[in-house]
Amino acid sequence: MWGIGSDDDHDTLVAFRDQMGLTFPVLYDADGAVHAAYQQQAAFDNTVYPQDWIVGTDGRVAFVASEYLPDDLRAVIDAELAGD
Amino acid sequence: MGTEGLDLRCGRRRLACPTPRIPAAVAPAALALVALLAACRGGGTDGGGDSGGEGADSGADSGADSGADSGDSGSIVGACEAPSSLPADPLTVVGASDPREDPQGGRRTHLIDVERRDGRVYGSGTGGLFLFDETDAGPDLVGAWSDGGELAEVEPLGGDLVLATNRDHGFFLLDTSTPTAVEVLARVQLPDVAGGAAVGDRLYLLTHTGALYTIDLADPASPRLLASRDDLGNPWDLVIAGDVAYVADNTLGVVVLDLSDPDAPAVAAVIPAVGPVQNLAVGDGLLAAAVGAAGVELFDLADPLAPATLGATSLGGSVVDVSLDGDRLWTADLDGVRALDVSDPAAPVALAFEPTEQWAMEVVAAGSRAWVAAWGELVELDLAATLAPQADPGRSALYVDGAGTYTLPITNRGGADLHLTGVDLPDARFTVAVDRVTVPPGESATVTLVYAPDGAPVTTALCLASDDPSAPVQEIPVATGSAGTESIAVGEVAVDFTLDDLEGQPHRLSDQLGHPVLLVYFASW
Repeated sequence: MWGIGSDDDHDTLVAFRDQMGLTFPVLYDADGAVHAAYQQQAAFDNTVYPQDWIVGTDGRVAFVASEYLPDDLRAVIDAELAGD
Repeated sequence: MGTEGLDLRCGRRRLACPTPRIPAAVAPAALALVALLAACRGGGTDGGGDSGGEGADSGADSGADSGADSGDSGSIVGACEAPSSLPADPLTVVGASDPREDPQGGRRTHLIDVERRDGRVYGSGTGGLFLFDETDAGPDLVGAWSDGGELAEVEPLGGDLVLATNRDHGFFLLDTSTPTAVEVLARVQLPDVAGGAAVGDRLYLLTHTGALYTIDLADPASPRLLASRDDLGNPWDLVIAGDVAYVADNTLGVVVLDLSDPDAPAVAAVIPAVGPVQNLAVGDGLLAAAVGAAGVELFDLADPLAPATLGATSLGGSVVDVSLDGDRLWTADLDGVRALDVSDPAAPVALAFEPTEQWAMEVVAAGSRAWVAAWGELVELDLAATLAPQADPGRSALYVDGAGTYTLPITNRGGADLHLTGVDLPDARFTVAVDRVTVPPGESATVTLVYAPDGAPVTTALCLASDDPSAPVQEIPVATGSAGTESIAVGEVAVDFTLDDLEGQPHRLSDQLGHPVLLVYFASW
């Protein structure tokens, strides 16, 4: 699991990560290239953040959501791990 | 994933922020953490421009054309130079202390609370408790205590006795008479502790689950529980005036407690506010509530047990703390600190604003001075009796999602006329116009952008120059936004990328082939 931030500068991401105690890698998309590549901002009307994207075991996008849907996230990840 | 004791606070004082505790057994709890936190409103760090030097040798006129208003608006487009001379900034930094740099308080800290009593300033945060003496050059760090973990609230109770709270573990009563050797008098374990305040020998302590404890402090080494009640909502803190306490309750509003029997506080009134109450300040016959994006709501205390609303004032930002001293009302709104004149509390007048480099979390004021817990540092400000303009673009970014016209209001939140001296967007697909160059206090100019897309993404910025002395040049990012352009759909190949994490280690998506990867796009605000 990776977090990707491109709307904050590096120091802000570090402070946020430390304050919130995040333990997974937080990746710094400095020039917004990855955001642009995924057209991340275009994926949902008026919802830039947060977005959850699941890339499946085959390298294809398996799931995208702009709300927090923990059950759906778990279901998709379980399915991917089970090799569906 | 190891997530024991993970506490899902959305930082401090976030608007309408859920504060559930997710048990460590729920997996993957780390996903919940990021998604919930990212869904909360928070503060950005881009409040105001940070370069005043560009305009030093500009030929652009400053206030000389204040008589001819819209007629000159075309002449400022295409350049972004601050005027060669700026009005004096009424709100200036006297000094700042970064507790990290001191050998005693050597751990990195994020300050989230500040209080002041008897010539000493107290800051608390992730590094613990920090004690500062007031000097002419600003706050001077004289001691620290870090054995209590992260301290959310600090409350000096008089005579060097200090209350400090740790949300997970409870509260501490500390003797700070020797700042270099803070002594723990008592430590009480309680979950979800929020703020508290004391009067006489009685401490009134709140928890985020809605409890109020009445505690006897006659012997601070042995606090005794006298009473408890469990019917509040999500209280953050309380302030006491005489024998009345006012509770800042995120869900209920202002809860008024009658303390005429100090051992048995009674709820006298519950007053809904225009927004979730983050914090309160009480002055002479006046109660001020920090209500987030709704700004500040003021209440008349002619009847102390029945606060009557005088209305709310929104000045941009998300107000998370307030301080009252005489006719001065101060706010901390994550972006910075503002001073207002409330001699007529039904019509507050903005005096000055100073952006802080990092989030302005709490403010405490006395006379012309204010002390701010500004995340990485404790800052002391001084308010001069002059007035200056403040240019507020009202947003930290502008997203364009197709051909058309976009408008951005520039509001003057200061006390003197604002003069715009430059507006520029260096991208040929945009034409820029502004409708006026002189903006009286409280009014707005409108920047109009007409966008003609060519299919390529937009990543540029609108530059705004003015005689706002605290932010003479500001940049507002402009980028392609949601809707209207295609994104990668489910089923398509995810674009490969390599990004460094915050420690500089590269992570490549294609290295993960064969494993599912969850990418969470988030921002700290």
